Amino acid sequence: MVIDIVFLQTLVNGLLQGSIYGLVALGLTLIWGVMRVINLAHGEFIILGAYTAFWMFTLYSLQPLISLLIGIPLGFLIGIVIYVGLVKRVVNGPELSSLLVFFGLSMILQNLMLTYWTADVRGLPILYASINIGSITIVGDRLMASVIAIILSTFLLILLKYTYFGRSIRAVVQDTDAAMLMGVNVNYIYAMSMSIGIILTFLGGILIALTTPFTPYQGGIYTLYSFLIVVLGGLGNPLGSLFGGLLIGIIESYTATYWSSGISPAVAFLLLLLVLIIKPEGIFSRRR
Amino acid sequence: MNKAISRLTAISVIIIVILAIIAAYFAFYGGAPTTTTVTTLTTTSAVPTTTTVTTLTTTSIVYAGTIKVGFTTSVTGSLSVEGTRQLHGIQLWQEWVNTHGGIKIGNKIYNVSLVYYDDQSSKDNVVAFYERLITTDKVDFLISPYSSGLAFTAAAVAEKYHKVMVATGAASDSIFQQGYKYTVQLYTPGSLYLKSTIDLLLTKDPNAKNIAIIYENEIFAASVADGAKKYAESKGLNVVYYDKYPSNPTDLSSLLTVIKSKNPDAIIGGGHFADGVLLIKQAKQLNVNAKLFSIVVAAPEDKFRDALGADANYIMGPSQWEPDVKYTVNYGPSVSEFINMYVKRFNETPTYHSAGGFAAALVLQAAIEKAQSLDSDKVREAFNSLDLKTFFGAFKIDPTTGLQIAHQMILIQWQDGKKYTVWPPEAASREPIYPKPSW
Amino acid sequence: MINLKDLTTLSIIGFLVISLLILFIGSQSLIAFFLTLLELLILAYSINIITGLTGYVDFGHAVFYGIGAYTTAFLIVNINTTSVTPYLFSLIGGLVAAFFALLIGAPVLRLKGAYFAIATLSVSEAVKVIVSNISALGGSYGIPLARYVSYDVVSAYLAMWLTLLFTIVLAIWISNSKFGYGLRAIKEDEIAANVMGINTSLYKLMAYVLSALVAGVVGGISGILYVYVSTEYFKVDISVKMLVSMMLGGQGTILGPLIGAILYYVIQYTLVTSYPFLHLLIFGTILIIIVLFIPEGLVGIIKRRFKQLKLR
Repeated sequence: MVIDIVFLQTLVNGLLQGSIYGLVALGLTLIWGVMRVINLAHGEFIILGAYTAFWMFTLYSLQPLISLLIGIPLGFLIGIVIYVGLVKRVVNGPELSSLLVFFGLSMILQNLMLTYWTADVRGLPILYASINIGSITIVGDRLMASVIAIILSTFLLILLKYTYFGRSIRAVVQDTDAAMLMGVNVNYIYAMSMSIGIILTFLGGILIALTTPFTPYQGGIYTLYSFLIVVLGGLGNPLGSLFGGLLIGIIESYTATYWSSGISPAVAFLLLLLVLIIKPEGIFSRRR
Repeated sequence: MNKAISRLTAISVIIIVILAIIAAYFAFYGGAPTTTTVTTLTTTSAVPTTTTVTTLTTTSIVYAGTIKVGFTTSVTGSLSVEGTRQLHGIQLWQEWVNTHGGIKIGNKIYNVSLVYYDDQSSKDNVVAFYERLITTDKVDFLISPYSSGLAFTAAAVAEKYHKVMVATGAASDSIFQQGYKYTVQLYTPGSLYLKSTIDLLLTKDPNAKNIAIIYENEIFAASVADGAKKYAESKGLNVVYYDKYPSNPTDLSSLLTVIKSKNPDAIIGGGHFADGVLLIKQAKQLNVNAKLFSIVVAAPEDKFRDALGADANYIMGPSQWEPDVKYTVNYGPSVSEFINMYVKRFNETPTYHSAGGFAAALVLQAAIEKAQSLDSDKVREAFNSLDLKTFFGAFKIDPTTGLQIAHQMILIQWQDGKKYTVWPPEAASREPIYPKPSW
Repeated sequence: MINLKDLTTLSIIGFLVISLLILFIGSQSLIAFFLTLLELLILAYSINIITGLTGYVDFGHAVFYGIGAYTTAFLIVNINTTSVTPYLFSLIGGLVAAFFALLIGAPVLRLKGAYFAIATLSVSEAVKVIVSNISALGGSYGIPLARYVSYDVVSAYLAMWLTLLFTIVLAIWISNSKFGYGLRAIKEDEIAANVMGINTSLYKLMAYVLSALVAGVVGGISGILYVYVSTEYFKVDISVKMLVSMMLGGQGTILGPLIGAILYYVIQYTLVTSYPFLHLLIFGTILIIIVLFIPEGLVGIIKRRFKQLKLR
């Protein structure tokens, strides 16, 4: 009987953590998928979003869900600035350039956050009570984050699949020159993709503040996992990202319960390697 | 085939290279930026401002010389919080010594200066910096880097030059099993971090049976957990769960789920700040109860309570030192004197990292005064016979290994949103609350 | 007027001679400074073999450095030889790293661009986690070596210098060989190279294995120098450091890693010692400026200039 509960609880834990992974990777799948830039500062943007939520809550008692609304214009602004200032120059260049530019950016952001907000750990109190179904506990704030993750993934999916804008994006990804010939303003598409991507990343960060304590140094781990999940789900594939996240979350969860927490990241990375070797476009994308 | 590059390009390249070499020269021989420059962190914004402090020398003292103490610390990097605080402690000591008559050897009085570099919690520059400290900056004595991993290398450099090094944050026992002769330890070693927790548990609840121990996958936390496991088992406790988790975890729910199923009396361990907070937060969310929680490193932090609110209550944590501790002192400033000085200087209450920084330099001072010499061997010898009671607690080392054998960890517990020292009874300011009520 | 090739030869010989001289006439502090520089240099050359020449961005190159270090440390602790220099074990460390590259190279090198980069990163991170869970390899503690080897800057320096010499000779040999031309062809246009009859898979694998060998040896020497090996040797920062140094100087060239590593190290050292709080900020800014405005590195600028002149 006890084993069953642990088994089920592990599943729940994995799904919840997995959707957070998916949420956090959402912005990256757009940015990387559309512009092929390796945004190594992704994690730092998440932490920035987290700090936004934290300060809004601490200074103005704003609930994180309300902060989401603030995150949208803020993320948009930052996205545009980063695009014009940096990304535009490396967008069609060699990978090494974008890799290093974003790495430099991540150093700058990390140092700025460290300087102004110190390395002390920050977190929000528990704002949503856990839901208990029998002996299974569903953690409240993670459930909230999961719901938002699903909403945002769906939003992005609809955006990409059913709007003119989304079609333009896909056209640009498929064949930039042809898209230009078709009248698509590639520059505009790139700028918008970056902004939406950063918005999504920011929102992910706000929800991280809700669920997990953080410091300026945790960006790296989010960057790493996000890249894994984006590859797993397929670049530019929002649902793929979500499912990729869930997959990793569940695998890590079960590894932690039945083997050891210490080894769980390795299992995730090895899974990714396997996927890359067998089907690099991602588990959830259709082979073109 | 004669291929020529334009003179301009060649010259520009050469100029860039020369500039780089000049910059390196100045970085190298220009001396460290730090002797009397002290950095203040104001509370309103955390932007550090650098103020040059003129050493308040009383005009009547003529210094026979300056004793230089050198070290690296984690100003940036993953251990920057602890490293910076420790730095402040050491800087405060320097100011204190220089305004309280310096260090007397015979009838000569010496003042003190510090030389330090940022090691970024990374091994890359440790060799270069410690060699530089010893051979270029010509420091007389050393303090270890904050991180245990770095201390292995720093201690080796110290050995080569026969320089005494006081190890502070580097608490792992294995450092002192390497045969280093010149390194002495201030902190209670990692393996004993949770000893007082287990003592408290068994004192308050002799029938306690099961204990869960978890730790972050790195050297310090591992030595804490290993020591705790051995001690717990030696006291007849059952370690029902013993596992490590990766550094910087974002989710500990599965680990906690298994612990919940084992129903231990106590859950102890941890790693650093964020994971400690995460542990308690998720323990509450998953309704994982235990009669005692003792979380290393994170729990004694004020930010712990800030991040968890009322959920921090009843959580305990071992600490090397706390402001409300009651110690009688036979060397150096008293507990309240230290706290007042620190608050005045840095505008915040000191934590054990800052206290440790000050104390490390303080015991060095004691050894120098005991040896009545600046000779490394004599000072190291003097350490062997030191039996101090400072504001930081007891200090006594094992003569062969340099391991700290007298300093005790104290246990704090959060009660009503405030942190109190609850163990050992002699140093406590309040009674511990046991068992912890359910979430 | 000097040409590029002479400049290269001059600089390399000059540096090798100077760095050897430093060991004999330099201050301890300077020697230690150069020693850390030498390590970075060799690593920059190491990654140049794979990333610089083929264009495949190896983002997890630190894994070979770490494997070399751990192998060496493991051998030192478990094999009791007082008559043999521990640096011999670093050679074995290099071989083990090369072998590992052989194993994972075949599947991983089939990936392109960012996928390859992410794959190498995953390998690096996976190995890091796995090693820290194996108690025979020190587990969470790493492997302290102070009881088995003594901290000795001079012997480490010589070992590093010899490794650098070997690496440079290797780089020159590759550059002038059919193998090197093949690699550069792969970088230009892999499909075309294939069509031309170059066995791209084999060439890529060979480059990968050679780069791993070098990195592994350096890792071993480093472990001995620092008398301690831990999972820190697998950190992504090390991989990035190598990439940046190589890029700063100019990837795929022989002079590039030399200039790039020197610049990187000097800038980084200066910043850390002069700006304890803001050096990351400054460094990140410099990095961005360099990548955006001098992406081919310094040697690239020289090359470009001389191509322009040639067209006149």
